[in-house]
Amino acid sequence: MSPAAVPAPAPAPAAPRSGWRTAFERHEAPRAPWLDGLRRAAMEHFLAEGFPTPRHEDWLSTSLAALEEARFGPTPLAPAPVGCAAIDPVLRALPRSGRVVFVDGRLHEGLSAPLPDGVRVTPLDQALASRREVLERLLMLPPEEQAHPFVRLGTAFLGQGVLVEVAPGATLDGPLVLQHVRTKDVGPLALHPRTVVLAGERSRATLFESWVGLGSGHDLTNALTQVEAAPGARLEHVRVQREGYGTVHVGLLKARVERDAAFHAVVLSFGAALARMETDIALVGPGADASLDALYVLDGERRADLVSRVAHLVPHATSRQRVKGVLDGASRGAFTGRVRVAPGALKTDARQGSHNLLLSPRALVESRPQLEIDADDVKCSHGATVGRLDATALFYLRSRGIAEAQARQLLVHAFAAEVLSHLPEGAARGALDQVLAGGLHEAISPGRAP
Amino acid sequence: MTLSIRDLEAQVDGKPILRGLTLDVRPGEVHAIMGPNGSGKSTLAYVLAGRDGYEVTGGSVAWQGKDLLALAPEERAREGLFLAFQYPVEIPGINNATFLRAALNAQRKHRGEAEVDAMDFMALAREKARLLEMDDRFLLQRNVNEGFSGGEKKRNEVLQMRVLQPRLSVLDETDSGLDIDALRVVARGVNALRDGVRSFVVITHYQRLLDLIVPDVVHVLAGGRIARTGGRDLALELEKQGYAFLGATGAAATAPVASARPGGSGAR
Repeated sequence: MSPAAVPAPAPAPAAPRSGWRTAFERHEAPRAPWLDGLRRAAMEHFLAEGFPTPRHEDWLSTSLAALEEARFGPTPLAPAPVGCAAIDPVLRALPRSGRVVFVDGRLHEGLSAPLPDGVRVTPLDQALASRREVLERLLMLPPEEQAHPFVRLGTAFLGQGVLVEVAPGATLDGPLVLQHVRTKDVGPLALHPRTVVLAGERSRATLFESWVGLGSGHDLTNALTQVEAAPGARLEHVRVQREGYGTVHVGLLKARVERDAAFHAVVLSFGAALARMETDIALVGPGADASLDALYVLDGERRADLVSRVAHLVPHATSRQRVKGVLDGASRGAFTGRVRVAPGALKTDARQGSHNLLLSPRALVESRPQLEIDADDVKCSHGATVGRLDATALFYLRSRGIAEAQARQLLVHAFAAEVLSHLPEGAARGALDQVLAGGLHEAISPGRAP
Repeated sequence: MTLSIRDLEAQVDGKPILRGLTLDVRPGEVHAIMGPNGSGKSTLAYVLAGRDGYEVTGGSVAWQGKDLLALAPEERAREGLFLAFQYPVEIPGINNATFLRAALNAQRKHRGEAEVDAMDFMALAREKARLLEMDDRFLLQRNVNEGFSGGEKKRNEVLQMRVLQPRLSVLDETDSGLDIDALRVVARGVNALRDGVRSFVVITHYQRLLDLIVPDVVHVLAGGRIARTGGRDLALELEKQGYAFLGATGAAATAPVASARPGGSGAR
């Protein structure tokens, strides 16, 4: 557990991915010896296999070549001072929310704010000791889920993160925000935070995970969030990604939704050079309901790759996925939406839609719906559209005196904001509308610097 | 002179539509433009408003001393021009009040006036809507024209006109799709704007609108130019006799005469 100060070895003819081996050896491992075998095995698997190439079916639009030989430094011991509310529109919009703040990968108690009643947040290293029985089950993912390069890295580099427990029957009186800030000039940094959320029976909660990057370095965020929604729980889980334009952001969400529980995942992805946002939802109890509302906004050469996998494992469960892309410049976006209806999952109702707005003739978008249906008497549908701004609507707005740039913004916002229309009215939705307007303005406002 | 159109020629998809149209509209005047289908009435409206795809190939349009054709559509609006669309556009996701306030403030900013805040705007819009028998839902809860009936859309056009207070309003078949009650409401809204200074160009197929919005001058457009000009009586004459007098000079002289369908083609 010796941190930081060891200088990087001089570059020598090295084994492939040697930078990753070095980083692993220097990693501050959690004080949980029972995890060592799991972590080491994950690392060996990763070193042997590396990152998938765009030839892998699931990774067609994700080029990770630059990460193979990347050399990331250690996380700084003393985080830089930072005014979190000033830089994060989520916190600006929710000034009184309970919050847990990470700065450059480290939990920052001083910046965190009191939590609402009914929720307990435990730093992961403590939880590995105090809540071992729960975490052991969650961290030992089944082999098919381990076989994901970023799950392997996340397991190998376990350390930072939190366990969030919403008490059974509790209704949180406001959203809880987990904020992850990257400051400027800390050198290339790979972060692998793990968030585990246990929503107790019949609890009600809204949880934000907000990612803000202030620099433009070649960083990696590899975030893995695991959610369990107990019977009757209602959980809204919102990810807002506004990383720096040099960052690769991989955000994996795995949710297990039990009987009569409702899980609503929202993704707003604005930043990063490459954002890969995955959402895996398993509906494991009758009456379980899952929604995904996602928006990504791209310009320049940036890329976004959204992947969802919804598994209907029992009868009488429902799922809705609505994914929207706004693409400018020479950006590229892709949505792969998989719905699996297991044998016997009768009366499944699963819908999926993907709608994209291209603001530039050089932008490209792909939609890949994948329905795998092994049961009878189910309803499954998908639809995809790609369009441009409506010239008639644009003229109508301009004919009333609204400048062309503002008219475009109004129309783009109208298209994008629809992803929030399925959220209940309230503080969280109001906040997200502000975040969305700001993010759109920043990412694609016509007057921005190139 | 408020609006001065000289020998205007315009084409759409390479097809000449306006072929030397000349028209002067002075402050406070209401000009009606009638004419058979295909004569260029809507093209004139779109050329004045600056719509893409309506290409001016000759002539000039001066508006309060400025070259109107050199201005972008939003600049024309800020200079006091308003087009009431024949088919108002539905814009899902943009709240009607938000839209109209953005338009009003863009125009006020252009004139060097302070922007209107949301509360003052609502008070103003409510007052303007009352005469049109539109309630708050159309402002606060509905998106721009989305799901509006034909009559509601036309009222919304006149509401915009009343809030923006244009110096020149071009009404492109504002009567189409309206029953007689809605037509009265819309005409009342337009007439309330007549103050001896604001001017109007009213494009219509039907005399019945001109019973309610009484014009000073009536023109017959045929083959892309003004074929006849007269007083209010000309509209009454057309009602009786149709456009047969245009003979071979009218591009669509054989088109059915509008007044043969007194209910209006789009009456709901």
